[in-house]
Amino acid sequence: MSLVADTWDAFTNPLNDGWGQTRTHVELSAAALGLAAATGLALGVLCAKIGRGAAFVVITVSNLGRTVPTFAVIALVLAVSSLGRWPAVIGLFGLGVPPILLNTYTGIRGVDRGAVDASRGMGLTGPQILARVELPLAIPLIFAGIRTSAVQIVATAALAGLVGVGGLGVIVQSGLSNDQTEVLLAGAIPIALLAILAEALFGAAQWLLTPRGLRLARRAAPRRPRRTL
Amino acid sequence: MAEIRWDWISRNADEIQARTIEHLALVSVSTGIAVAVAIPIGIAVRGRRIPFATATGVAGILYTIPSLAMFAFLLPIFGIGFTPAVVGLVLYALLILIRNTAVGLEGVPPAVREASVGMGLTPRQVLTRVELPLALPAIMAGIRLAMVSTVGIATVAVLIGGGGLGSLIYSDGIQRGLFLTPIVVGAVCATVMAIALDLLLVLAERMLTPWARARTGDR
Amino acid sequence: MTRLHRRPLALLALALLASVAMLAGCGGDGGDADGPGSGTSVIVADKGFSESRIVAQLYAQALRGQGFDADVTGLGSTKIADGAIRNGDIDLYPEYTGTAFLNVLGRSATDAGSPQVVFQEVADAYAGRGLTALPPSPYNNGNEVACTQDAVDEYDLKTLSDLGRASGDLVYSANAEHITRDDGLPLLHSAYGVSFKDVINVDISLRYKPIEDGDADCVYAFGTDPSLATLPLVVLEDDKGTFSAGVPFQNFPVVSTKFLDGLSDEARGSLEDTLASVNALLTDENIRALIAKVDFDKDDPSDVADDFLAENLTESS
Repeated sequence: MSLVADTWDAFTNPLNDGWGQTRTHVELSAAALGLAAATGLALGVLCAKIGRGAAFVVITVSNLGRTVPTFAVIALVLAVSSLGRWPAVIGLFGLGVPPILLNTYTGIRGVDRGAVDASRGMGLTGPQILARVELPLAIPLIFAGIRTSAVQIVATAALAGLVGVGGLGVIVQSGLSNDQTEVLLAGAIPIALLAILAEALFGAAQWLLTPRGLRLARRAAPRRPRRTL
Repeated sequence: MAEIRWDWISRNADEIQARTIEHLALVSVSTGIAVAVAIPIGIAVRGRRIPFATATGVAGILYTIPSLAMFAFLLPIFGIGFTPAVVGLVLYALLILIRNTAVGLEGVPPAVREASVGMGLTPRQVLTRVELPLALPAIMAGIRLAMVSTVGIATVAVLIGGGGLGSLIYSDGIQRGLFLTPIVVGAVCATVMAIALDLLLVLAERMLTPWARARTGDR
Repeated sequence: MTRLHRRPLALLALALLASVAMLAGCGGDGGDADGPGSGTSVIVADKGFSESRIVAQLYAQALRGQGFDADVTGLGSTKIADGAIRNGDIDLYPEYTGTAFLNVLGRSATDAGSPQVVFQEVADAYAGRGLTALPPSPYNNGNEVACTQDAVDEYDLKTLSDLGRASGDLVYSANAEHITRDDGLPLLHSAYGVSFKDVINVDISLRYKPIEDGDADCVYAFGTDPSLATLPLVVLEDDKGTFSAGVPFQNFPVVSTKFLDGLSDEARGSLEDTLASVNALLTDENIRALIAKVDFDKDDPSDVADDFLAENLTESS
């Protein structure tokens, strides 16, 4: 019980500035996620429309944001710039693109050809098919990507604390290096809560964006075959 | 822009090679274990809102644990070196894998499922013969992402004596006043490794889904 | 269909086998089994930053010279190194008296006495934790504050009290640990009235980056930082003796007591003598030169250690 109180004290301690750092953390994460979602979606659609080989190239290039550890990406950006928000946002952006891109690509390619052919038969143009049929049907996977990216960006934004731009990572870092559990938790718990919040928020957005027909179809049908059948 | 020190690279060729091999071992073993752990979890929680939210929530929280704290926690049980590094990496990879497996399985059209039940397939047969094959693209997308992510994340193994490319990027690079050469070398080795592993997985997926190839033929 | 399911497993198994086989191929080279160490294996750890890596290499190579089979492994923090040595995963590593006193034992900076007293207290407390603290080296990696020549000229800074007067106009670069720790920035505030206009919170390895970029005027420095010599920085005097002199940061070898007890008398004596003779060489000047070689000339820690020992360590046996 006292650990809870100590953690709260550490969070509200002006030295740690929990609320201010939370705000910075959210701003950095939101900027990175917004950019990553826009880029990932656009490239994912593009990849689904070009050939497999070209898609592999685009996906591979985007994967650079993950294969190179984020702190190294930030360090590389730092080598050519000074400290500030951009190196951190670029590093987080690179981390966020691949799940959105690959899941968008996989989702659109997985859309039933019959549905696409039917829409074409109804006179829909290519962009209309994309907007009204393919993207809506790919929503579950696209959002799976966005949710994964959101959680990982929020978690990794802790690195921003190492490059002078603040965020909850600063509190985590000082807790780790001074070996003060309550300070570590005062940084780590809000990060975990933000991750859960992001997960829930995008879950709700996904539900809102899923076409009603699809929602109904899922609900009406038995989720999984029952043994009694 | 600081220049690349080629002499450092040639002096450390053996070290670079050894670290790359360590890294490959870390990535392949931990991704393999993570797949083996996460896919059954994904199967178990599919289509059930609360278990799904719990599983992804827990995996998400695991992902937010700072690696130094994670390793300090694992140390009394697993010691230092390869084993705790793999355990940490497996925990970090669960999120993507569980989610993509469950979402992929949920994406199987209900009609298809009903038809298979109607044909007299048992639940296990429906899962293995209908649902999993149809969800394979989403599951493979998850495995590809997990593998590629683990290539990047595995650099934290250096914190617990697990070696790998993190030793070039952190100890030789960042900790020595942003010495760019080892950072770039580590990044390039990681990237080449990720491309090769990703290519292997794409080929594996093509072999596993012959119907997808047939379908794109008439596109 | 079962064929379909076996294939990824087979691929995985192949990948596993291949990686294990590759791992097995790259074992370390054994030490010279002659000498008092008679091939006994010693695992030395470092904490990942240059100074720690250099000292660990010096210990390991000197021990190899005495016939021990010493290997160096890199770890990421004090907590992990301390956990690993108590767990028996490593046998020895270089630590600072100040870090042991404050971080590991959780003592307060205001409790700290002279360097000798702090070391003795650390050694006594470590003995109760299954660890043996061997005598420290002469160099002291103490806390300092350094400011740019420009700031020093403009504000006529000589001492930390001068800094207290001018700090409202200055920007400080430091790591999170120093900014929040009792004996860090809070102490500068309470004892010298230091209150900076802005504090840039960076990783310990990036402290000098804002100075190089012109974004900060002052920086939290360690006595052994080679950047103090290469950048136009002036170390401020501690006119009250509260900050720098407060807690000593001398380097000393922590050895697992269980490991020491397992050695023959001859091997144990040789190990203690070897570490002591390496420590004797580690003056402020020497360690700073070694770090500069690693951080600026980009020489490898193992080569730097090798050369240094070849030049300085005469055969004592």
